[in-house]
Amino acid sequence: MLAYTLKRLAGVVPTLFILLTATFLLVHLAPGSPLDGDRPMPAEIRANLEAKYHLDEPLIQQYGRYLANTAQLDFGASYQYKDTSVNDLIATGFPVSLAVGGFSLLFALVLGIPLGILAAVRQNMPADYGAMGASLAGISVPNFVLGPLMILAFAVYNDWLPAGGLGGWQHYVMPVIALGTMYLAYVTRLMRAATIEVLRAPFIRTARAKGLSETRVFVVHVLPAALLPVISFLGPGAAAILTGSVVVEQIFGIPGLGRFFVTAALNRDYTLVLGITLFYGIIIIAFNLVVDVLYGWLDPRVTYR
Amino acid sequence: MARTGLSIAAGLTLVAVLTGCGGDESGFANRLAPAVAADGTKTLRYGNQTEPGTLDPHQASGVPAANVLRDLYEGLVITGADDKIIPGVAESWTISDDRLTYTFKLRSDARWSNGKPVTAQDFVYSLRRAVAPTTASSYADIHAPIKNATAIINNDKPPETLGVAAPDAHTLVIRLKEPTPFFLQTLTHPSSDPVYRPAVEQWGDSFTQPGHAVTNGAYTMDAWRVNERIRVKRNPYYWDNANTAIDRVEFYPIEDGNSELSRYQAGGLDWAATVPPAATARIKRHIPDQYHAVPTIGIAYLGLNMRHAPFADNRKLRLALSMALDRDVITDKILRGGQPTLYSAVPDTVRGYTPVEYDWQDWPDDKRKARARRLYHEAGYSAEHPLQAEYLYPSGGVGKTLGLVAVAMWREVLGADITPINQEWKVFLQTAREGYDTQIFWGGWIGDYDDPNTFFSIFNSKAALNYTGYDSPAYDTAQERSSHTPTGAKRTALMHKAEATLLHDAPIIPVWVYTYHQLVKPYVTSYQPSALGNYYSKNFDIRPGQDADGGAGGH
Amino acid sequence: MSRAVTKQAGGWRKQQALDRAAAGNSLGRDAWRRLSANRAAMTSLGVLVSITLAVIIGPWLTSYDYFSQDYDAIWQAPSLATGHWFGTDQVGRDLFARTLTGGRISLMVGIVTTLVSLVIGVTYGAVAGFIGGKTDSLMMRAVDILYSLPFMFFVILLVVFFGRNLFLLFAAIGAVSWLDMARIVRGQTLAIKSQPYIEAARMAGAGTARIIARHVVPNLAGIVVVYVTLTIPQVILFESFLSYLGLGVQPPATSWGALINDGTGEMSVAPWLVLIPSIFLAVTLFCFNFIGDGLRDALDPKDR
Repeated sequence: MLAYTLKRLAGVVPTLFILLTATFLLVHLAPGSPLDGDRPMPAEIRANLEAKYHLDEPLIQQYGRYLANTAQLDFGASYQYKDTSVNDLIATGFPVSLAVGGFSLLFALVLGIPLGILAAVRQNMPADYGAMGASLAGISVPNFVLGPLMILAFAVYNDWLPAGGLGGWQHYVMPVIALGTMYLAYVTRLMRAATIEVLRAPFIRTARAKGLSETRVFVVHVLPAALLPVISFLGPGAAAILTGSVVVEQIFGIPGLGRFFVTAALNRDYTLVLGITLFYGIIIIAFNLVVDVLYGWLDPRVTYR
Repeated sequence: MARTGLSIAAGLTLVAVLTGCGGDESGFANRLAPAVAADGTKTLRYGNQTEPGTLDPHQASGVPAANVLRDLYEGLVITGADDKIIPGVAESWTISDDRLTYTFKLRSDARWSNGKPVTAQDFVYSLRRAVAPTTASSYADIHAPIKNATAIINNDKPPETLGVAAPDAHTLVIRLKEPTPFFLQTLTHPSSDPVYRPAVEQWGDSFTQPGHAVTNGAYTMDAWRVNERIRVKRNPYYWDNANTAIDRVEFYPIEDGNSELSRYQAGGLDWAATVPPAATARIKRHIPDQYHAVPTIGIAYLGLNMRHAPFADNRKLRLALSMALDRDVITDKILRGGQPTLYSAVPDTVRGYTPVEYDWQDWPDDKRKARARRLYHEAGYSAEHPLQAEYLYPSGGVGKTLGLVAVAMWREVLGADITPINQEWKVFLQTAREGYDTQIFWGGWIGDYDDPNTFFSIFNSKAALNYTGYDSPAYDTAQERSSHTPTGAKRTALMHKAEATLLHDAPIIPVWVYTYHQLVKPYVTSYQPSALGNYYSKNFDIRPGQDADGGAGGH
Repeated sequence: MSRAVTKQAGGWRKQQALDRAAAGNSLGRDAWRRLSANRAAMTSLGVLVSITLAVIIGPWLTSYDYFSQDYDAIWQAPSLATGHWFGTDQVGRDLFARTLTGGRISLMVGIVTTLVSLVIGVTYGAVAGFIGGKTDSLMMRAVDILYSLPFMFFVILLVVFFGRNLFLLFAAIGAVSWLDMARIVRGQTLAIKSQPYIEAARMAGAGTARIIARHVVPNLAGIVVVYVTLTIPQVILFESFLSYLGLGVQPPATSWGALINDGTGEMSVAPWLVLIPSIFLAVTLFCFNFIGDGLRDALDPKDR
């Protein structure tokens, strides 16, 4: 496993390099410039701005400049937020997204895993229908509807929770529910399906045949194997949820990374888009590595050859 | 289908919530909890739409940045009641007889937030910085009236040649290239604000950050977290600090109008800068005193690309499209925000100018539509041979609503077949700027300064914003001459000629006058509507207990 | 692999082959018999067929079309009397006609792109997981990269180079939605591939492609079906974002995602604008889930 992990780590740099190059090309090929704004400017001023940001140079030269800076972990200054560096923006946005996303993930897992198991062991019984209905209700109301709805109910018509912004724990309740319900549906459904399958698998029959107690069979054999699909989903899923959801951040006025990323993309803020993409890429790769290692650990059937 | 029952139950809950089964039937029972701390510190919480890209006055753009900069920096002149120009850092000024030299007398008690005096040299430095190519300010051209400004922008002369001088610490002399009747108005723009040289030189791009920033307005930077809020605090050295009541101002960037309204209703904001059209009726019913619709110096129009078919050389077709629109329906039934209809290029909100307007604005509907149809036929189109064109608009804005309505009206009145096409914002800007593919496109313009010229200049054939490709020597001449003619009958005549020419040629279809909407809590006192949207926090106060019943009662 | 296990697995495989021989062409019929015994699945199928028929035929039942505006009938509540059975929107368009015509797009997008992501994702994931080693590593790194790429720019470029059409919309959504599927399928394949019956198939001389198609993929059905049914609503909502970027459906044409999105802003004046399309979406989602579960049970090789 150690050899495998090391091998994977060696692959990180080339992966990031390809990601960075592809993204650089994508953002620069896309029409629209970071300099375009509500108020058009005379050609001379535009030329001054292009010179200031080196946008008048050939693309390959800009690329070289960017790579050189990135190699020193300097993502440069944001085009949109001129007074702040990309590093600072990521450093302020990420912890917020991490907090909201982390709690949402916790919400989804803590509720979803038991619900899924319950539904599986009571397959086609009322408990199953109840659990599945609840989880599906979560996904069938999109979070851009659920969010404003909760705000109306809990902040406007009743004075129970703040309508948005950052602050104490009360500020996190609605965003976490809005973001978490969707993941709850995924976790519950995947958990149920996987548990049903694992319960029928030959190695569980073997374990039972060996006379192990039902609880022991469940905890030691069923649960780890049944977690596999949830974990596969969580690799990229957790990376996405922890780096922010633009919809929820917009609705609740939370200064997270998801909002930065979408505004950056809309503004063609090249440096910020590249910086966040790279950051996101690192997190994705890290999570997927963790997931792959977990596979082998959780499920004895998995080997890397 | 036991589980569908659940979604129906969820739906019923939604209905219950919306019809208000909670503690507050309308959602508008005033939560009158102003942010006044135990020690009496007063904080104004302000919904500010989007996050300002920068708080460098010379590089900033957009209304949200201007809102913050008005509190942070004070220019030579500012605006007062009714948007009149009043003294700022300059306590008085004289204009030479040839109208080329402006001499400003700076107040001796003007101070930076570190206690240092604000001097004429600060303005010399700042104005040079504003036009310097290395600053690359997108608003540099607003200073074009100043001598040598254009040459400096074009890299032909060094910034030191700008026509500004400081004979002594409290006298500033600005020399103009040509007489410019609206020069003082341009000085109220943030790009004319002074910046503190040592801070700029020490910190570079981050001189605006809390801890680095040194400002000369009533407030100075306290905290800034991008996308969360900007907080400014009282500048104790501000010359009029004694009369400033509000201690802190918080600017919250909330892009979504509904989110902002919720925050306002829930008591998290004292001031909301937008009102979602759908909510207007309810707001007017429940909290009419807090709702303000203030038409501003901005126009919403549809541009017609004059470079290509079908609109090149077909004035009748352009006019037919313009006349086919029922602007009253658009403003009263669709926008619902008190927007005045627009039949001219300059809105009548601009001070001291009465626009020329299309004479058919008062015609009965039938007559107007009949004329539109006649022009359409004369232009060579008919039911058998309808006009086929595309209307281009940016995603996610009012351009979509307008487009849908306009397209429907063109179909109904003329039988024209117009396809709405949306593009993502930056793609739209590029397409419109290049002008190869556009036919009919969404246009909107908020004036830079309070003078008709800020509207006339954008349709000059050489202007960057002239996305229509309109090129009329007669118009250009009238516009250029009007921009250098002293205020008076002669200038008015020139402007009327320019506007009449523009309306006759119809490169644009004017639709409505941009209107600012504000919700202001009753405990915020001294609110005065400003067509320019120039609100200075130093003019307000928070009086807890004011209108505590949430009912009627003015300010 | 011990001989005993091989033998056992061989026995299992033989049994399966016997089953198949006996079943022959009746495999499909067999599955259908199991499916039709599942009441929830059959009811859902009925509802889904009704919705499909409604979106096809429905727009002809009303005298209103989806694009005509009526400025005297703005934000009218649902009513039988006015003929606006689902009410009207902010420019007086009939929500009944809009919901049903929008449903055409949404159902099409939901089904077509989910199928695209299903085919690509399952194949890709199964191949990567089954072959393993360097191939797996390379294939999965490619997924990581695609996952991290700012998708918005990809969409914007698609529009620039190919203009706007429905086919591109499918391609664009399919292009992202298979990534999750691939990761999940690969994870399951890793767990399955060391199972006795796979070894047995290999020893019996089956080629890699055949093993993947005949033995790996069928055993993934449970998870795949669940994931597919969860993908459908996501894809239907995602479409409205792509239309915002200028790809796909252009106003006045619409979709459920766009209707719900627009309706949210008018929730407090005209709740039906968000409620009605949401109900359509939710019911469709529930139906797909029941059918999915039913299909899974009906096709499960282990149950047979």
